[in-house]
Amino acid sequence: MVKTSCGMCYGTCTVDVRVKDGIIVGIEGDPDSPQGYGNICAKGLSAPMMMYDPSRLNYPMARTNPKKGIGVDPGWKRISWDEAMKLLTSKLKECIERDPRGLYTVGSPTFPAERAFNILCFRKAFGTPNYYTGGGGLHCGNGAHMIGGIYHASWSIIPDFKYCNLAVYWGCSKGHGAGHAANVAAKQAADAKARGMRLIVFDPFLSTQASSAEEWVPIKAGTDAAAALSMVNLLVNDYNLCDEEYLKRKTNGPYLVGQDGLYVRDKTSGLPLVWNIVDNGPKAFSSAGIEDCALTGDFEVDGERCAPSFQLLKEHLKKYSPEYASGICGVPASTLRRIAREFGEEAMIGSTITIDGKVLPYRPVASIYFRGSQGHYNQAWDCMSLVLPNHIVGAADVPGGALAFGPPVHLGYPGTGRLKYSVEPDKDGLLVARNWPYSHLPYPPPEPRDPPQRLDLQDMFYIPTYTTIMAWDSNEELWEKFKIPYRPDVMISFATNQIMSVGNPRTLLNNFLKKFRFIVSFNIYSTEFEEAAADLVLPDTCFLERYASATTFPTVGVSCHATGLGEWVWAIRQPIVEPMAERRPMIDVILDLSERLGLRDEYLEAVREWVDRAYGGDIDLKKAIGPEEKLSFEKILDLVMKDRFGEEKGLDWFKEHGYLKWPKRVEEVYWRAFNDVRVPIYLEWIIRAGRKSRAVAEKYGVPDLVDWSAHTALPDWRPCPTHAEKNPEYDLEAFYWRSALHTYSMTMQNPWLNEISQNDPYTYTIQLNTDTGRRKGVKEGDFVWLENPKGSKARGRVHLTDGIRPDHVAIAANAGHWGRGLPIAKGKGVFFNELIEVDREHSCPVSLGQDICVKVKLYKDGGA
Amino acid sequence: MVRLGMVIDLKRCASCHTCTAACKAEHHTPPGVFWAKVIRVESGKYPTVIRQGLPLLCMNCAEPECEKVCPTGATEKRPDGIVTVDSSKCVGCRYCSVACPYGARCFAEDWKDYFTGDRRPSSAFAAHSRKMWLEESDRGVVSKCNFCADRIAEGQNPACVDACPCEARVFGDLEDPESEVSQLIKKRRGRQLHPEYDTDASVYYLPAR
Amino acid sequence: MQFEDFKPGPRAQMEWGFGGRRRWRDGALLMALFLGGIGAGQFVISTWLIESVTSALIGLLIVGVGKTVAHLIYLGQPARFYRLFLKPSTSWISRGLVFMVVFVAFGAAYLAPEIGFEWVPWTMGSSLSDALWFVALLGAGLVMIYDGFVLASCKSITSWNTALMPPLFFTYALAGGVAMTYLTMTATGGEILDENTMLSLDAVLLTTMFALIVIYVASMAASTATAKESVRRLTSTRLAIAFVGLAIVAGLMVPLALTYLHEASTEGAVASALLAASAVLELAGDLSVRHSILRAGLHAPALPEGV
Ligand SMILES: Nc1nc2c(c(=O)[nH]1)N[C@H]1C(S)=C(S)[C@@H](COP(=O)(O)OP(=O)(O)OC[C@H]3O[C@@H](n4cnc5c(=O)[nH]c(N)nc54)[C@H](O)[C@@H]3O)O[C@H]1N2
Ligand SMILES: Nc1nc2c(c(=O)[nH]1)N[C@H]1C(S)=C(S)[C@@H](COP(=O)(O)OP(=O)(O)OC[C@H]3O[C@@H](n4cnc5c(=O)[nH]c(N)nc54)[C@H](O)[C@@H]3O)O[C@H]1N2
Ligand code: SF4
Ligand code: SF4
Ligand code: SF4
Ligand code: SF4
Ligand code: SF4
Ligand SMILES: [Mo]
Repeated sequence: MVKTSCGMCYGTCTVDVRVKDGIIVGIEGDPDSPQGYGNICAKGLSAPMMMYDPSRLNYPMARTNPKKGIGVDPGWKRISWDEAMKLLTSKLKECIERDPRGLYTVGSPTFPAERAFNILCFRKAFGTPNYYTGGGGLHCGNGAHMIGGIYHASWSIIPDFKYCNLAVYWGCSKGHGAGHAANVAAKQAADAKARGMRLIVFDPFLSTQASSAEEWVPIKAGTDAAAALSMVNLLVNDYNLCDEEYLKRKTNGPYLVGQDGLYVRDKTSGLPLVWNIVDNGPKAFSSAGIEDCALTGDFEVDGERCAPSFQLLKEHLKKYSPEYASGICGVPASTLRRIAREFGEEAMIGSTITIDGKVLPYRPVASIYFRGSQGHYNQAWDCMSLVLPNHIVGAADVPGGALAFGPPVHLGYPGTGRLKYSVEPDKDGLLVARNWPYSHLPYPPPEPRDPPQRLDLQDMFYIPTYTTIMAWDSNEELWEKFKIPYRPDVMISFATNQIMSVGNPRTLLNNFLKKFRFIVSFNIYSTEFEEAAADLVLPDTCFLERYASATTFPTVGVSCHATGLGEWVWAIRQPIVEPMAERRPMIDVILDLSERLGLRDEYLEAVREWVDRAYGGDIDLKKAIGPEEKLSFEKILDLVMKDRFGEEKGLDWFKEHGYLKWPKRVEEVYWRAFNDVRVPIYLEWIIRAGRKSRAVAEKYGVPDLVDWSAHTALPDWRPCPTHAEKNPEYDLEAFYWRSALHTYSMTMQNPWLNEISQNDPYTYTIQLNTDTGRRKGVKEGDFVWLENPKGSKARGRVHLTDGIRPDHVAIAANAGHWGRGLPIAKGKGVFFNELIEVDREHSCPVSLGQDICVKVKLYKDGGA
Repeated sequence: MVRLGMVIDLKRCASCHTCTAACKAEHHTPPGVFWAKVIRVESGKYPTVIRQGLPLLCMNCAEPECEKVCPTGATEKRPDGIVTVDSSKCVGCRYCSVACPYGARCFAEDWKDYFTGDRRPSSAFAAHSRKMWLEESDRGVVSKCNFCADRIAEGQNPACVDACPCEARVFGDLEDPESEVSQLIKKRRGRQLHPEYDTDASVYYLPAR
Repeated sequence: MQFEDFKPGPRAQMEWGFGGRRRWRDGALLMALFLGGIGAGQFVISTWLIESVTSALIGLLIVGVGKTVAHLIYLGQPARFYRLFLKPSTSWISRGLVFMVVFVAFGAAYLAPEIGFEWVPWTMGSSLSDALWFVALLGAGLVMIYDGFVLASCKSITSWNTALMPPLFFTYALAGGVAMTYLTMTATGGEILDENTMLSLDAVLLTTMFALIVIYVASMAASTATAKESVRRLTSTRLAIAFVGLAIVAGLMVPLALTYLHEASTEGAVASALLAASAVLELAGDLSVRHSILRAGLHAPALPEGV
């Protein structure tokens, strides 16, 4: 039995792996680890089938067919590692000479621990700003993560399953298969439902979570913001179910806003003012002695008319009457009213609970959102609208409410006091996250780069983590205008299948990937991406054959920790068996490359910086590793761990125990009550940040780069382009969801999961409403085409169900493979992304995230 | 007397198929053989529609139809309630399969490799799987869930029970009124599937709603 | 494609008959049932009504060899064939095979003196021989009826789990026997002693079968949702070709018509040709009925009333 962290999804459950005669024969959850509670999922259990898949890459392979493209046979030729390394080194050297920024790095969302060392640190050492995670602009979090960061200092939120009594889900599965910390959440959610927590799910599809919920609210895709804003409107304007105490102390609700939409600030300190009710005058928000301040009303400061931002929100919300929202989202106004009232009443505003001797606000309601509700044109404001209910009733990071995921506060490992970090306020009193996976904090907004340096122009904005700009038709023109002196040169891709995960594959390939001189991909299979675009494919180890630093700890980039009270855990990944054939852990290649390229010191420095930022602490790797010493990942890990946990807890200790755990503290889990930080119910700073970005765009002659009018302070619902589709032929809204059986596109090649999926009516099908099917003459099991107005099509087998809106059609998972290197996955399921358009019109103007709404027409295969 | 049984809480179950995979991983069942599975049942008309995942396995019935019809004596009921198939006695007539009301029985002509469909294993793991399977069962016979008899003998829970992420499955002694299974059945109105067939199934389901 | 076992609704049995899990090979079981029925039927008719040793022997061989071989082809572990006899106290398959052995053994013993084993201490017509014959007939009768019980014993397959199964299979076996006998006699040029009795027996059997089928379909159509689904499949899916087309129209109605037609036909050759055609159709109908019933065998859903 060897303990390690599962790597079939980013849940990273601790598992015990059984080895017999040098072969992995079984995997079980580790019952003592808080990371999974001993449970495991179908994907984790199927890992041996991935480990021993005869289609796995075993040798470096070079492309012999110079032609690149979808469906093209790359003509792989086996080469030696030596040749491969020489080839790669020379390409990278050329790139350095031309401009190191021409290197584009792409890393997997599934392996954040590996990604940090393989990609992020190497990128830093190499000196390129260009990077994205797996899905690029289509990944999970341009909107969702950033809003999570602004409101919860965390990249997502989850209900406090232990105490929550009513959770409202908007397009997320938390605890029902996919989502974060999948197994942990599954158990917590099951416990909560057994205890009596009610779940209301807004989803166009009767998803797993919707089918096990108290109530399924079939909402139209991309309209969540309208529904949520109408509910907030009711809470604020009709029912008066607001937590005024919270709004006054924990939000910028009382901050006075002037005619220009910006805060009215104290002349001397520059701090935002509030209206102090006691002495009936303005006062800097943080001044001592403010017993009570105004949330509503009209005031005058220095002759300027102003009002508390809450007043502005209140006024703004009035247009979101339930009737108006109902017309948009297709949910009856009476339902919106009822749910808003239930939410507000169930919040038990004013009540408290004592945990561990500490009296805390008790707000047993949570409004939770994720991938589904954020995949739209308006995603930044969608997410803001969905998080808002929590902050109106004060249900944020308090018992029963919406909790930050992988909590943002950790007061230190008891043995050493290391790994210490917390949230803090900025000068305006607003919440600043202190361990954030992305290159820039969600707040305060970074200054825009002038001119931008990145090919996706991300660095001239303030919300986006990645954009799809590098794949727009207009990319060359934009790079030209923004005076970006370099072009795509070399790409290093780690564990991603960009052809299937980043929007429309043809657009990405033709507009972007084909521009690279050289693409190297580290993968375990030759997928559609390698076949279409890669010049060199290097056989990585799978998670059972390699080390990874800290797979769970909430600072490595993904926070896949249990939420709520319990235990912290730092777990590692370690090789259970020697890598088979010529597979090599990517990190070894990266260390080797760093040395070959003379970037050794830069790499170690980047690691130091990363480790310090991510794990909190300081460690001088350059000193600890002698200049002549060959770089070894094990040594680096050993140093890091000893630094965090003490001399006796080095890599050897972790190899034996697999993980280290220690109890969570109330102050860490329910940190909001203990930290003087506020969140913006009025995003004043977006006005300022938006102006700055706009100024850059205008300066370089691209004034309409995005719709700047969306860079406002108050949330709104904005329609997706599909909502305006006039042609009645395109009568179905298509969307996708994640099957619990699969992780993105990478698990369809697993024959156990594949066989189970074939036997599940949803995973590999197009789900169509029974009546719609009847109307269109489509029967169960028929093959149909879905076609978007631009003629892009996807084909699949229909499953008729009553569990979907009649005007919608759903596709599960990221299936429909065609790659030669994936014989099991090939031809199974439906490929959704073919239907997506990657362009300005389908990018959120604030977060630049990809809109995945698609209007389609449906017709039987064979007929038109 | 002990009577082993299982309780599946449909309120907790998230239809995730972990049990399906856990059983496969534990017993190395070949393609097409599912001792555990989850079926998806839907009823009602949009928008008042409900869907339920229903995890199935051998009910290890107290009055097993399969045992009654088995002409060879390969299927037997143990004193602890587990219904077993002695694969060295089974002839593969599959009378039990048609007689079992729960679709619990699986026929496999031969071990086959999951990747190639061949009788030859494609990897060391596949060779191990093949060995494990042929130890557990034979070619051309019928097999089924045996409540993980080997694990139970070692004091462990069945594999599907241990794996279930939602902890929806509980295993124990139905005869002992104090056991968790008995208590759950009593408190949560646990019910058997198809009681009308008088199989007296040893798997009980707790209602989702 | 989804395996049958994972379907939430009525679930087709995939074990017995053509189109089962192993497509063709599982059809061997259907052949075993079919051959058992018609072979035993032929023995009964041949020894009872027309006293043809050749025809009786053929019937016996159809069971003793044909049915046995079909069973062996079907079984996953044919080498363990003998184990099938071990549980006659509870299993209808064991019982059926015991009946089969009894039938074959006593039938062979009964025929022995006529087929070259003159040394046996009995002769046709002796009381010992009559006793052997009686046991053989009993065995044959049980072989003809046991498969009805096999199917009827499956509680969750509503379309099998009916008291109509044994009489239905029995009449089909007997009619099959008549047809086989007729064909054998025609082929071997033997003279049918009591042709009229046989023909009227056939007419009675055909009418009975028709009535049983009608009752069967009607009662299933009024039964559980699963049984209704079986009827739907029998009457309005591809299976209807076998069930309605072959079994009812070709296998019942046409032979019935032919039976009456032949009486009108004065020309002997024409009459016997018609009778032969009718016999072939009956056999085809026999096979189709068994096939359809096997294929329409649906297990009740795990949650029959939905969620
Ligand atoms: N098993 C598994 N787990 C995973 C992953 C995986 O691939 N497989 N991926 C991981 C990653 S990277 C991510 S980002 C998370 C994502 O985890 P989730 O957020 O749970 O992702 P999805 O299942 O894509 O989307 C959730 C739901 O949104 C619904 N939906 C779609 N459009 C809309 C809409 O407009 N409005 C509303 N209200 N609902 C909508 C879908 O029907 C679906 O039920 O999961 C992580 N965990
Ligand atoms: N249609 C559709 N598109 C989506 C999504 C969706 O659900 N549906 N989700 C979006 C989201 S939220 C995200 S985060 C992205 C994710 O997008 P990606 O990260 O690109 O995910 P995959 O397409 O699964 O690619 C993962 C790749 O890693 C490889 N791999 C697996 N294990 C290893 C390993 O150990 N080492 C190496 N080197 N490679 C390995 C697999 O073979 C696979 O090719 O996709 C986005 N796009
Ligand atoms: S949830 Fe993810 S990490 Fe956990 S067992 Fe499943 S695949 Fe592995
Ligand atoms: S593993 Fe548990 S939760 Fe998942 S389907 Fe099976 S019983 Fe349900
Ligand atoms: S469920 Fe079926 S196979 Fe299992 S004991 Fe009962 S009748 Fe036998
Ligand atoms: S298939 Fe095997 S276990 Fe089933 S009834 Fe026949 S001999 Fe018995
Ligand atoms: S108890 Fe064991 S054999 Fe039965 S379904 Fe569960 S894992 Fe499979
Ligand atoms: Mo994601």
